[in-house]
Amino acid sequence: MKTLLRILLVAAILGGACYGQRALIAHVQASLLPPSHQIAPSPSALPKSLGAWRGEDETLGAAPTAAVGSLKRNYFHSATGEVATVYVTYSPAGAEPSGSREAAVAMARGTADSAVPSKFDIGPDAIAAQTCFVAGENKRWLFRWSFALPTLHEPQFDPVQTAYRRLRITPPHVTIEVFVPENYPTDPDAAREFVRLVDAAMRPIIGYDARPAGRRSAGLTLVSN
Amino acid sequence: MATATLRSDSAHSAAPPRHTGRQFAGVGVHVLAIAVLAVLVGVLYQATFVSLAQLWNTNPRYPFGFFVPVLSLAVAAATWRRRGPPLSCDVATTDVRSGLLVMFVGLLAHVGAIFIGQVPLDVASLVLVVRGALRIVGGRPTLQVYGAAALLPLYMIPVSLDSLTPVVAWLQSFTARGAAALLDLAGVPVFADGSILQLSDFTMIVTSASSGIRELEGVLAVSLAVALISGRGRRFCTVLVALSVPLAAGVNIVRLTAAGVAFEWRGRAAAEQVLISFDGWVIVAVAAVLVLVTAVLLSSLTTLIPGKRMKSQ
Repeated sequence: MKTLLRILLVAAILGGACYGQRALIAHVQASLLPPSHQIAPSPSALPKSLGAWRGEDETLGAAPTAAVGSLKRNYFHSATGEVATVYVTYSPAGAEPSGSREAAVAMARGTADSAVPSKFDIGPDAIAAQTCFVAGENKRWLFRWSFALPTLHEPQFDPVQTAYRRLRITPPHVTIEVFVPENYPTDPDAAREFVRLVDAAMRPIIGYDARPAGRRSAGLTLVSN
Repeated sequence: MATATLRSDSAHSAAPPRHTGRQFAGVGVHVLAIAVLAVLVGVLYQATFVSLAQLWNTNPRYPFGFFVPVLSLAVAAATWRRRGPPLSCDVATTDVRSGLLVMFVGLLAHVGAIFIGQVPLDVASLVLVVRGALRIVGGRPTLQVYGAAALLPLYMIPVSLDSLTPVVAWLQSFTARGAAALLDLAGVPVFADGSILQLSDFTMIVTSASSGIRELEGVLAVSLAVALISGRGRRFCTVLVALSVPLAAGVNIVRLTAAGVAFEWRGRAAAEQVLISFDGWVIVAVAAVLVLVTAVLLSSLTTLIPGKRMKSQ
């Protein structure tokens, strides 16, 4: 093959690739719209009575960035008087999953007893990160876990756009955080039982097809329609 | 009687060989053809370069990023000067097919990178596309001589080497001892204990971040580029690249020594100012100077041992 022809061949491939890339990016980026009919779960549907615990809502201060539908509720144990604070945060599709500002502040400023939070098996498929913050004589436990919600099928997008959305858009998330102070040695175990109760109560609210998000990177989470 | 000749790929040879095969047209046409292809590659990877620039701007650990494309072009220019343009009239059909296949795989990787948003994959695809194009327009000989220049862009990807604990520990110790020795030479009283440098009223700790491990990848790129530009053969290239590890520490030895001298002459504030301002382009400049000085010294050393560079006929 003549040299000029080979140069033209390479130029044609590169030129075609440039044109194809431009068309592909325009096509897939047209799908980067927020989901038109994502049903946001209502965190306030969490029952106020969980076993021996009774809940009282508290006004949430500054809302976490990009998160909507947040809940802050204090639960009191009817027998021991122990208090547990529950935060439930819903982050819509495309937003980074975020929890409460209080948890963020605690994690940023608090002195954790371990650099890496340990894992607590809530159930067969959910794992919470548990961290103990120490401030002088006071100890406070934070349990945090989240779920990736399935995105609804949107027929206006073709398979290429759907694939792009699945790979590039973070699915909606529900993040649950439970703060429990440790006054007695038995408190952490009671807190873990309470965490299980909260998890069981949240499942019907967020839907049983929600997937615990602790096992894989949220950015690359694939959610089935 | 035995006679001696210089190695054929040496920069000192009288007439540097060009790859075989009839050459294509004049220099102007070469430049035009390569420029057109380069512009097309630039347009195709425009978004990748923008992402890389953002990555380099926001990553203080890798100030060498902007320097790597320049090094790659410099290596390509030196190769052109020494071995001729990357175009040839004699290219086998199998080379064209292989080149097309490599370009296809590269473009496929580019599409994958668009979907998953991974810049490293896109850089790998850029390398594949360029190598495929080189094979099509110049055949295997062109790919062999220009291949290194086409591989250098891989250094545009910042890689964290912090987890190489034994290397980090050695670099910390080497940097502390090197800085202590230089400060001694400069007449600055210093006491070195492990990775701690104690001056009269000022303590400098060589942490893993200031050990040179974060400069290692960039220094490797600079060393490789300088070795390739020099055209002094594989042995020279291997030695210079191997010296990148102490040279990376050398960058921080210069930093700590400068801070120590500043403390001795101007006080604590000046020393802290040196430690803070010794960043970004200053690191790149110091690394480049260290590599160039080492290359010149190494080159002089190999010239002093002529037996190594000659062979009997």
